[in-house]
Amino acid sequence: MKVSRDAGSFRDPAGWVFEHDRRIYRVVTRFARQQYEDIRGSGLLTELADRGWLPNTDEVEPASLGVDLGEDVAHLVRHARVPFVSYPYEWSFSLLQSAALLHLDLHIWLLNKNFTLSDATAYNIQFEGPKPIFIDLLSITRYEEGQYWLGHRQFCEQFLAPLILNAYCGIPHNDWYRGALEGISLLALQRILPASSYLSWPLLFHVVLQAKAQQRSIDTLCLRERPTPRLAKVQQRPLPKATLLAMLNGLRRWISRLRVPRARPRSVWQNYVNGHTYEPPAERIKERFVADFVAREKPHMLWDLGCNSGTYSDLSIRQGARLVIGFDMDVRVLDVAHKRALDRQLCILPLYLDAANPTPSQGWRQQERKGFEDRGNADAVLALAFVHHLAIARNVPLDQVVDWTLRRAPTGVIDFVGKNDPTVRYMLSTRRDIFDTYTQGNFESILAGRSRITHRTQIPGTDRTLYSYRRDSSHT
Amino acid sequence: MSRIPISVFCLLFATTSYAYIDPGTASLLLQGALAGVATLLATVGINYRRLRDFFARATNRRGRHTDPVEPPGASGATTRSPTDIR
Repeated sequence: MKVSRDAGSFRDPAGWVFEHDRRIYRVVTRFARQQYEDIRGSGLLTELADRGWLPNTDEVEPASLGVDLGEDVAHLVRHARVPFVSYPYEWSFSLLQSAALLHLDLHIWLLNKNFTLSDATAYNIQFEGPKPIFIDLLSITRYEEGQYWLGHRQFCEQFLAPLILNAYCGIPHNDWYRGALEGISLLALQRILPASSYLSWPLLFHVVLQAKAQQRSIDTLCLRERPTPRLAKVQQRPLPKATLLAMLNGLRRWISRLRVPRARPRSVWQNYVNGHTYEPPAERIKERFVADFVAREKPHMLWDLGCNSGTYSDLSIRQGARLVIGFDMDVRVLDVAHKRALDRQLCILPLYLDAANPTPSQGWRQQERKGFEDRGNADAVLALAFVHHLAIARNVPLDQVVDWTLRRAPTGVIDFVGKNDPTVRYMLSTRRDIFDTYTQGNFESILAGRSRITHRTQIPGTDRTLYSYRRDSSHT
Repeated sequence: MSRIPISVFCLLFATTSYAYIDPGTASLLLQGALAGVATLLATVGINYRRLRDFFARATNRRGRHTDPVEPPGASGATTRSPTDIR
């Protein structure tokens, strides 16, 4: 049997990745035999796994799998599986920042052991709960004295520029990054930077000067002039390791201090925890309902749709969920959820998702980076204060919202927020109510037609009703 | 004549059309400049130490009767590498 290579694993001649029996394997090709044996012999793999920077990795005899891997196989390794693959355009500012810091920490650590990284792609970082992990061991290569940082531009475009966009311009990077998979162009970024950015040396060096030099080299190429001999001359000049380390340490210090300016106006849900539209006793009933559901189901992976600052993700972990992936379309509130997960050491990964326009499959052959629906499902789902944001704010028919939610997991909790609720009233205050079918009776009959409703509670003093359900096998 | 409008056209769209084929030359030029500064600092440092040692030795020769003589190599100039930047 021939295995199928991961569609995103084609750029590096050193190896490729595939899935077999729900486990992740990496083929090391003959091209990278020596490189891999060098890494293995140095004991780096164990040290990195012990630090939690690389997934646990062990070597497997290629013939033992009983699959056809082709001719070009020097070694085969097996990696611990990352629970949920995510991409930089789904990360909030603080997730991207922690990914950038891991990349720099790893590079600095490797340089001190006379190794380096051959690239700086953000897609080589994944998350286990709220903590970043580096997944591509074949990016590690032997360092040669005087060598330049070949991944510098990539680092700037895939980590630094999106962080700067957040920190200096107050613009979330996600939508731009999703449309430009290789990262944010420095040329474009430097055009929108405020004038004060010229006062920051690292910003001037890594973004402004690099963009200017890039523009110059493009112009030269465009005018069909001969390439300047300057580059060849420059490359013969060795970059001392101390200078490279100083550059990496300087970047690390600077990036760790970057913050998103306080949003004006504040993002819609940033203040939701203190400002939602119902009273503490009603909230306690909601918490009890969710806690009982999670304690009954004990899901391995639970998705919290509309997770906000992670209150119910947190509760779910405490009630026995092993991992929670939170999704929200307010990217700023995800930073709050990420901080909560780090502070309380909770296995929660909060990600950016607009359910009305989920992440598509894209990149080479439209398969390189998987879409939201191609990355598997959860064991259970929470869809609290979620339905009306699709059904009313985005005009998605109610039955389609229920169908979409039910497809995410075999069981879950979903609530219906009626038209007397202050949030829904506000949503309808300036527009014509065209939602005749948006009634609790209709919602309940749609849900009951596709699943078995196991529990139901009306929250006193509100127009909200909670349901837990188990999906019918015919609606998978 | 026809080359001029083509060149102008190319310049107008240079950013979007050609950025992707640039193999990171800008980044390498910047790092090259850093390497140049590092080399310059190292050279200045070494020569400064040499000059300082030269004057120190000259002073010692003049005051030989009273000052203790520094053992050879104690100035540290010979043990420093060109990459040792302060």
